[in-house]
Formats: sequence, C-alpha cells, structure tokens
Amino acid sequence: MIKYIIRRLIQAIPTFFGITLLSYLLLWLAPGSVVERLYLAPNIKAETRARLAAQLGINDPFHIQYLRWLAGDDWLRWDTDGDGIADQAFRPLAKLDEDGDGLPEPPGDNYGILRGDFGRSFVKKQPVMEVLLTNLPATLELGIAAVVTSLAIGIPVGVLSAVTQGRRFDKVSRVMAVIFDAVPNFWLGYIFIFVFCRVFDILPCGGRCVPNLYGVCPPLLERLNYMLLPTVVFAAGFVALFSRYVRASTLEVLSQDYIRTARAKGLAPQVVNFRHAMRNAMIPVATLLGPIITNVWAGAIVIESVFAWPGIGRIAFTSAIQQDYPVVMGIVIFASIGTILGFLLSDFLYVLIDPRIRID
Amino acid sequence: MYRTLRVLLLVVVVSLFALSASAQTGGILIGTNFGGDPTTINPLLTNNTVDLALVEFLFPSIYNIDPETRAPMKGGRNDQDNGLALDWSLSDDGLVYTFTLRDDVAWNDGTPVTAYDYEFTFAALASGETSSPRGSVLQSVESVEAVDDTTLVVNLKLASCRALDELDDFGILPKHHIEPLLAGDFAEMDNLEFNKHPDVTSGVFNFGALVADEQTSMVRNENHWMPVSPDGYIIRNVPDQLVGIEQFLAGEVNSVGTAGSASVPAVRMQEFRDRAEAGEFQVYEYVDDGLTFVGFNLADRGNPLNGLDEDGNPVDQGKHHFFGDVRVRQALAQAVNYVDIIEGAAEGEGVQVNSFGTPALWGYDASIEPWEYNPEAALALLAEAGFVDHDDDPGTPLVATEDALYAEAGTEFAFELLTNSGNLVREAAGTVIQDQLGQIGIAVDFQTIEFGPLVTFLLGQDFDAIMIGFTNLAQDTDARNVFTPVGDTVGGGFNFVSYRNDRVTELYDQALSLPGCDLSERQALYHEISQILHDEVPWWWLFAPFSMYAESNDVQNWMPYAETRYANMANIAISP
Repeated sequence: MIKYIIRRLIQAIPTFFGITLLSYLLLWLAPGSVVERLYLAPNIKAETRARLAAQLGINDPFHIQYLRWLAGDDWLRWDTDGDGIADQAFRPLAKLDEDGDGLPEPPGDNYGILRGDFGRSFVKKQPVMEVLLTNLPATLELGIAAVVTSLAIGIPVGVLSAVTQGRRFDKVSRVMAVIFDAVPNFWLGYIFIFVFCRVFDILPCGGRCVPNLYGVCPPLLERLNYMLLPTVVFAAGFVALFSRYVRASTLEVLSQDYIRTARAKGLAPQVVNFRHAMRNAMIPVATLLGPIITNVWAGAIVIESVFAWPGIGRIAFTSAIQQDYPVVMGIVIFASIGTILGFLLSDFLYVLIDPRIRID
Repeated sequence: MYRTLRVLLLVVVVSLFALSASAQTGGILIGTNFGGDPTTINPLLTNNTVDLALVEFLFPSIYNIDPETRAPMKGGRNDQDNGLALDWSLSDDGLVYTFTLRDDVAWNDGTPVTAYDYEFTFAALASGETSSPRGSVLQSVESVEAVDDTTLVVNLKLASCRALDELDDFGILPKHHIEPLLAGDFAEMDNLEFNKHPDVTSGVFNFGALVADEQTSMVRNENHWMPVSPDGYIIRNVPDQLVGIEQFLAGEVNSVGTAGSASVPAVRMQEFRDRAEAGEFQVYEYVDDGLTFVGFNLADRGNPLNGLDEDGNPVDQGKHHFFGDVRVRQALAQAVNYVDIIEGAAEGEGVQVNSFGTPALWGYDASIEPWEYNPEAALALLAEAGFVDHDDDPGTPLVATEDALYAEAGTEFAFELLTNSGNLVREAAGTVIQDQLGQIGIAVDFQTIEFGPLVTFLLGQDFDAIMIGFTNLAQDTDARNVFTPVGDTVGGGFNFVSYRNDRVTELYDQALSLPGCDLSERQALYHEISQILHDEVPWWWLFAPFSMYAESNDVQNWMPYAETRYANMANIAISP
C-alpha cells in the first residue's frame, strides 16, 4: 500500500508541474496587469507606476517570472557580506544591476512555491499563504457540509429510487435530480435569498455570522442558520449527481445473482437493499469523490460570492478581477493538490468498499 | 392654581419628550461594501473606496471640506473629513501657506495631534520610498515645516492655487507612533502591521477589527474632542450588489454602500425613490462627480507624437483625417440624441454635461447650453466640412470631397469607437451612438475590449475615438494636464486626444497662479475655459450619472451631502 502511495505521488509530480506551467502561462498571457489599472488615476505619476511594476517584477520575461515564482529569487541575486545589497548574481538569468541605473538591485528574498513561499499578494500586501489560510476554514466548513449533506441525501434517494423503479418516488426524484443539476446555483441562491430572507425573514441573507464590532464569529453550532442556505444551494447539484449515479449502479447491482440469492434465502428487503446492494453500488460514489473535491473549489467561487461567505472562492474571484496573480496562482496550486489528493482518495475508497480490488 | 398645574404638566411632558429624544443615541451603523477588503488603512497609502471610507473617520486631515460647496473650509465641522485647520493665509507672492491648527485634538493614546504630525507625514511622502499614490502634491510643494504645535508653514515651488487642494490629498499619521516603527527607513511604511490594524488614530472612531472578506469595524472613540453618539460602524463585505440590496431591504444592514460610495444601481433608483416616498427608508440623490465622454483623437493616429519637444516648443502632430476638423466634431455633437443615450445607458438616471466637469464641481458652468440633437444641422456642418452623401443612399457612409481639410477625397466616413468590455453603461451608450450616427451616414465600428489593452491604445494615442469615464474628479477644477500640451505625452499623459488651444493653456495657467487664489475669480477663468471646450468639442461631452445613498429609517439625525454621506457622524443614532 505504501509503495502504491509513493508511486502515485511520484506520478503526480509531472502533472503538478504541467498544471503550474499551463496556469502561469495563461495568466501571463491575460491582458492587463495590476499596474495598468492605475493608469487612469490622474494622481499617480508615471514614475510611481514604473517603480511599482519593477517592484512586482511584472516586466520581466515569462521564464524569469515563472522560475522566480516556482523556485524563488534568492538564488538569482544574493548578498554575501550581509550589508543588505546584492553582490552576487546568477549570471545566465540575472544581473546585479538589472535596470541599468548603476546601483545593484536588492537581493532576492522569495523562496518560491516549491519551498512553500507563494509570494505576496499585490493587492492585500500580505503573504499569499497567510491570505489563503485565513479563508480556508470557511471554505472547508461549507465544502464539507455540502458534500456530507449531498451524500446523506443523495445516496438514500438513489437507492430508494432504484428499489422503487418506475414508481412515484422514482419519477419525482429523477425529475428533481434533473432540475437541480440543470439550474445554475447562483440563480438558486438568489431565489433562496429572496424567499427565505426577504419574504419570510427566517434566515439571514448572507455572511458567516452576525456582524459585530470586534469581528468575532461564535462557534459553528451557534451560527448554523447562516450555513443553511449556502449549504443547501451548494449541495443541490451534488445531491442530483449522487442520486443519479447511485440509482443507476444500484439497479445494476440489484440484477446480480448474489442479490437474487439473498432474496431467495428470505432476507428482509431492507437488509438486501441497504446491506448487500448499497455497499456494491457505492463504487461509483468513490469514483465521483475526486471530481467532487474539484467541484467544491469551483463551486465555492460562485456560492461564496452570492452568500458573502468569506472563503477561498471569494479570494479567487476578487483576485482574478484585480489581477492579483500570486494569489490566483496560490489558489490554483491549492486546487491542484486538492484534486490530485481527491483522486488518490477515490482509489483508496475503492479498496475499502470492494474487497475484491487490490492495489500493490 | 389650575393654570399652574397645566404649565407644570406641560413641563413634565416636554421634559419626558426631551429625555426620550436625548436617549436616541448609540447603536451600531452597518454599511455594505461591494469592492473587497481594504488594502491598507494607512492614510498615506490608501487608494480605493473602502480604504478611504475607513480612513476618513480614523485620521485627521489638514482642513475640512464644506460638504455643501466641496470647497476648503476654515474651522467648522465635517466628521467625514476630520480637519484640523482653524485658519490659513497665503503670502503675497503666493508661495507660502501658513496654517493655524486646532489645539484640542488628540490621538486616542492621549498624545496631542500637532503640526509635527503633518510635517512627518509629508516627509514620508516626499521621501519617495513609500508606495503612496499621492505624489502629485510634490509637483507644487517644496517643503512643509512645523513652526510649533499649531502652526504649519508650507512652501510652494511655484504659485499654484491647486496646491491647497493637493495638501488635503492624504490623512495625517501619528508621528510619535510611526516614526519609531520605521527606524529611519520610510520604505518600511508599506510593511507596517499598522496598515492593517491602525491602533493609534484620531477620529470619531477607533479601529475595531478587520475580518478578511467578511467585515471591517470601527468603535466609538470615547476620547474624541466632542461626544460621539454611535457605538460603532461596521462595513460588511458583500461582493454581490444584488445580495447587498436584499440585505438592506431585509433590514440586516442600515446602508447600501459605505461612507465613500452611493451604490444604489441606476436600474433600481426609481424603485428606491418610490419606496422612500412611501416611508420605507431614506434616500439622498445627487449628481456624481464623474463623467462619461468620448475622446476624439485630434492628431495623426499613424504617428503619435508628444505635444511639446524637449525645449517645450509645440510639435506638429499632424491632424486626424476626420476629427482634426472642429466642424466635424461639432457635427457629431449634434448628431446624437442625449436623452436616448442617458435612457439607454443609465436608465435615465443622469444629466447631460456641457463641458469638462459635472454640476457637482464648483468650477462647472451650468449656464452653458449643452449640445442639442439636431441631425439636420449636423449634416449641414458635415457638408461644409466636405463630407457628403454621394449616392443619396443613407445606408452608405458619407464620403470626403476635395473640400475636406484632412481626409483624402473619396474617403468614406467610418471610424473606430473603443470602450472597455464589461461596462454595461458604456456598452449601451456606444450602441446608441453607433445606431444614431449610422442614420446620418457615419459608420462606427464599435468595439469593446479589455481594460488593459484599452489603456494601452488610449495612452499610446493609437485610436480614433474612445469612450471612457473619469470618476472622483478632484475638488479643484484644474485640468491643465488634460487639455494642454503639458499632458500630451505619448504613453502616459492625460491629454491623450492631443488638444491644444493657446487661450485655454493661458487661462489654465492664470487660474493656477492667480494671486490670492480667490475662488470666484478662478471660477470665472474656468467658466471661460469650459465655454471654449464646449465649442471645440475635443471630448464628446456625454453625461454625469446620478448617485443615490439609501439609509434605513433606523438611522437618525442623518445629514448627507453630495460625496459626503455622513457629515455629522458623531451625532448619528441608530435605533436597535
């Protein structure tokens, strides 16, 4: 098992680098920059813009920017005598006096993402890791709640739908699954906010807790009302997905010989359906869990924006709009690692669910 | 006896009433912000709406702005500006301002706010080592010197009436607190923890807490020089404007927008007006201090050149084949129906402007008649300028004749109009312009492109016409860098249309260096400039949008003005 994990992780390395290269290239090709947004502010001088651009390094060629982001810049230009001024440079890629003003540039102080340094946010002026970790708990809170809710509802609905094939429950659940799968969740969010917040005034319109002067959010159990709407809207699409997959696989399992044998032995239908059939019908759910983790990241961008939920999705949206590349790339890396681990998790779940599957 | 009892009873009733009225203090004001977290709460470094909304209530500034006229105000109160100056004077040569500051204002740690704090803040800016975007003040200010705690002397490089405006471009930092943190290196200013959690402040409020992507709060400053009513002000971060409005209508927040922004969208203004009239909440409307316009490239697009050479002499920049002729620009100004544009682009929630500026600014001349829709007059002017309908088919473009000043004979009247994609107001306005010019035989290739490339075309002076907007125009009406050759520099200048009129340049110079800087005398000069700019149409003057504040009925004693949402924050009370 350990060998398998190591092999899978090694296989993930080129995938990871491929993702970083492609994502960075896409962002680099995107028009505009955070500095260009300052062009139409009449009180910002051209020299200020140029200095900001130089500080942010956004005028450097692509390979230098990518390398700096990946492996840092402390090896490009460094200070050996401790006077705070760079006196050595990695000549093939950097010069001591990059801008030709006769003065050496400051030494590099960025360690790159490979050493855990995601750089600093252009806009928030904080380390990217700090920005992401601040908002991560909120996204995990909502994402886990949505996935657990969708599994808790989707699996039983799928199984029941299969065992009542062609009957009213099956028909209704299938129609609902199509509807929730098709309806965009931002629209569903607006409708829910309008109905439950504006019209009935029974749930808050958004946010994570009651606004207060000291910015302290109470424990989760005391603010479940704030979680309800975003969780339901987030989970709606996943419920539809799980129920459809589970229904299809349960129908397949129910036609297997061992189920017929179990029934012939006189086992109660609940035991047949939920103990024998459901476990085997779970294999597609395990397959889905990897992509679902990716979907949680993607869905968070919309859900968190609609419900003013202070998570990673919010940062992803605002950073993309503000062209805050270090943060956007940090989120891409987080999402990539999450996706790779999600697929790994799917593989392990196969083994847990189906003892016939062995990995080595 | 009976009468005395009645009087006593009346006194008791009045006293009870007064007591209940005086009990209407406190409460927490909650606003909504649609623009993300504050990036910095350092008054020298701020550059976005929410930063400013916080800084205005946390830090002192050199003087107050009269909320009614938007002009600098000696003494007086405006809680959103928190100004120190009781008085100031300008030397006869126009080169030295001397300010007398209040002596009863203190930082929240008890240290007095003095002229030395302003001197220190200016020194940080002048060092050029911070990322402050407020450097334009350095063009006119030579030095700032604190003579004593309450006397500040500002030496100018040149007599500039704009300097007074620029001196108020930033809030004041607490020298005693910040200087030790910097350890002599102003470059450290950008990295201070203070920028996220300013602990030493001097305003109506103290800083409360910043919770990323959720809220920023301020709490009452108990040591303020006057009693402060509200317990605090929370700015809730709501990225979706639609949801923010739902929160307001559901009573979860008190305001749509923050101190620094109005934020009721044009499409909902009429609904808000109606509901406010029905007593559901309060609204305040005003004309915004920004305008939407089309800039015509007046010079040869194929060879962009600076307006002045290295010695300051005018450069022949060639002429744009269409827009180089003022008659063509005047014709276009009469070829579109501004009512349609304002209706189509801004839901009718705007006002046509006649020249540079908006009615919100003191230099704006409201007496100038704006251009009117008159397609016949437009066609006649175009014919005079040498552009005619050669085939009697209104569906085909007009064609230049030998009489055209800069276009070759036979050239079809077709040009490119650019704006930034994603701005629905400009996209709609561009479509109306394209349609209406098409009706008189002018083919407009209307394109929406990303903001970054648009700016590159704009500042590179590589365009025919660009629709864009200027927002948050300064209090001062000076636009010397926009309409004189000084600002006509390829790649970075704001006179991107290459406009030049020596009389306009002369008037701007006069208005800037007027001895005494008397506001009404300067106003007269700006009015003359406005008339010339109106007549010569270097920009196609379109409209200034209306803005609307909305505040719940819970907010009492609310005193709003244009661009100043809470002029009397200290007296506001919020019902529980």
